[in-house]
Amino acid sequence: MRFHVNPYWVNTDIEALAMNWVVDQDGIDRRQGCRAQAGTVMAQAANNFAGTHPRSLFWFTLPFLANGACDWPAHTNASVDMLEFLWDRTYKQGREATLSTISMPRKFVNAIANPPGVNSFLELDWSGTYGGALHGHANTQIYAAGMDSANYFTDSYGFSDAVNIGNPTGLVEFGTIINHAGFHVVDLAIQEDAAIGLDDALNHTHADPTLAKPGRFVLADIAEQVRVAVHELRSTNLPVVFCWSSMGGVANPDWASPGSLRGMAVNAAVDGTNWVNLLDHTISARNSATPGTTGYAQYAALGLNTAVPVTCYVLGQRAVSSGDAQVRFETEWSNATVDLTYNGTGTLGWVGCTGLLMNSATRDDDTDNGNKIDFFGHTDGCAMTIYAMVGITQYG
Amino acid sequence: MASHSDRQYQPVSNTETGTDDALSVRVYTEMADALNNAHFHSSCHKVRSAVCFPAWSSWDAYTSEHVIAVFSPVSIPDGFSDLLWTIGHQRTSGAGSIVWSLKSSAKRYTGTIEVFNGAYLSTDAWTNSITSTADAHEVEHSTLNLPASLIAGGGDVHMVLTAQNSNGSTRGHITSLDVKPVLS
Repeated sequence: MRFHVNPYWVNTDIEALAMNWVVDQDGIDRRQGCRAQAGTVMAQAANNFAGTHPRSLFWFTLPFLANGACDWPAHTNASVDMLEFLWDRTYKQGREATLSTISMPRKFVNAIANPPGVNSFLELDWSGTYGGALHGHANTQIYAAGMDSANYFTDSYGFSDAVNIGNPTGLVEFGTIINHAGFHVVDLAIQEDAAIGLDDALNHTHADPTLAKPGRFVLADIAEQVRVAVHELRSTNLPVVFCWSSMGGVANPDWASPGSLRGMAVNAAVDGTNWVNLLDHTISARNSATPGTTGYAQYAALGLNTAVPVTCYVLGQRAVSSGDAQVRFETEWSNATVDLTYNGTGTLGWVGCTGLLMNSATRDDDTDNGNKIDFFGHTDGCAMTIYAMVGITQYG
Repeated sequence: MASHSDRQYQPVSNTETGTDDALSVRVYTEMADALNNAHFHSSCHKVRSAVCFPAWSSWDAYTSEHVIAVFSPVSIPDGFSDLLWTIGHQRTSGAGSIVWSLKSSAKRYTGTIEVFNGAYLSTDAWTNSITSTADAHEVEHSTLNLPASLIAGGGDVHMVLTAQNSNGSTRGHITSLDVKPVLS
């Protein structure tokens, strides 16, 4: 069964429909139930939310720096892991995602390391686990031979393609974007597709408006269905707070402080054993102005609480088998630290930490930037490099 | 009548939702507030969150408005009118100013890089700026209108980030860019 989803949002206001009393002709207050239309409105509002709120999963941008040159990593010439990310697969509506990219032909502005090859093309593969088997696939294969562009975005290619991410399992899933030998990707965004055609056969969260029958009290069957849908949506459709990925770092790591596109690096030989802000190593402590990323969490907690938890994940490694190599995430209200233990032996994997809190009483445009999340790194006599970081809001 | 988005979600009690029981209206109003709150706050997804490492710099000795980044399209739901954007910025040389501008468009920018040309955005595009004049790090917010064609029904927003130095010796960079849809 499919359910209609109106794409237009209206602030849901059922106060007039949900008054539980009337004044009869004798001037007596008489208790009633709310009108059936209240249930219909709520079911449709829940379906609008269920069908039009896709999650944004990942972003990556390669800016134009140094007077027009773009800092292409040389190894984008080969089929190597380019970007790393993960996300929380708890949201039932997100069965497919769209990868949107903007790419440039191989030769661009000034001469660069990798001239365009014959029949070079852009192909994006999406693996399901770090270093794992292919999971999704976006392959438009825009062929280009010997293009030579300069200065114009008219030479850029923007395309989107859908990738099936399947049924949700509640697990965190890893992803790798692989760029096959063709174009230079300057921007990439991954977003789940809106489940505008809600379908109970696909187990989409929904509410059935037809359960609200006019002419009777509004009964619990539809109320319970809407309640379940609202809770499901509210507790699983939670935003990614930040993400950052190196470009080809895993295949070609950078150990020199402060790092590069190939990884954020902290090296005790340069940075000592202090905590350093990963975006500016001269900074050792957070304040409202230090570099970080701004989390928007106004009114996003539960009930009377103000804490909005964020789970942070890091993909990285240290150079030696012992000694501290740590990453710390910090808001004005809290911090959370994760240890990087992989040192080249065993299997590289994401590590996560809980305990970072944003404050829902802090305005999104707060001048004290209380929900700004700073990133700090610290090593105890060794070097470490970070390939990717992700922060995801948690329900609770 | 009133609708609320500033009431934080409290899981609605199901003790009143047994089959075929008449209900308190409170159940409905709490669910309505919960959906409004989720739409605008707790489940409102960023359009973009960029940790700028290495930092994104304006160009040396260049005083025209130039393109720093062109972003892939991201879909936003209906019901929003603006984008709240936040950057961490710093002047890295000189004594002048650096104007960082974010553009919202209904189509992809296909103009020149070295001198930004607004004619390549949609006709209902908007621009909004934050001016950087401090040698220390700063974090600032500002609000950018959404194109009218997106306000009426949602859709894909295309954004462009530009920089403009006030003189040839001034230069700056940003360390973060965060963008969230809002209703104002």
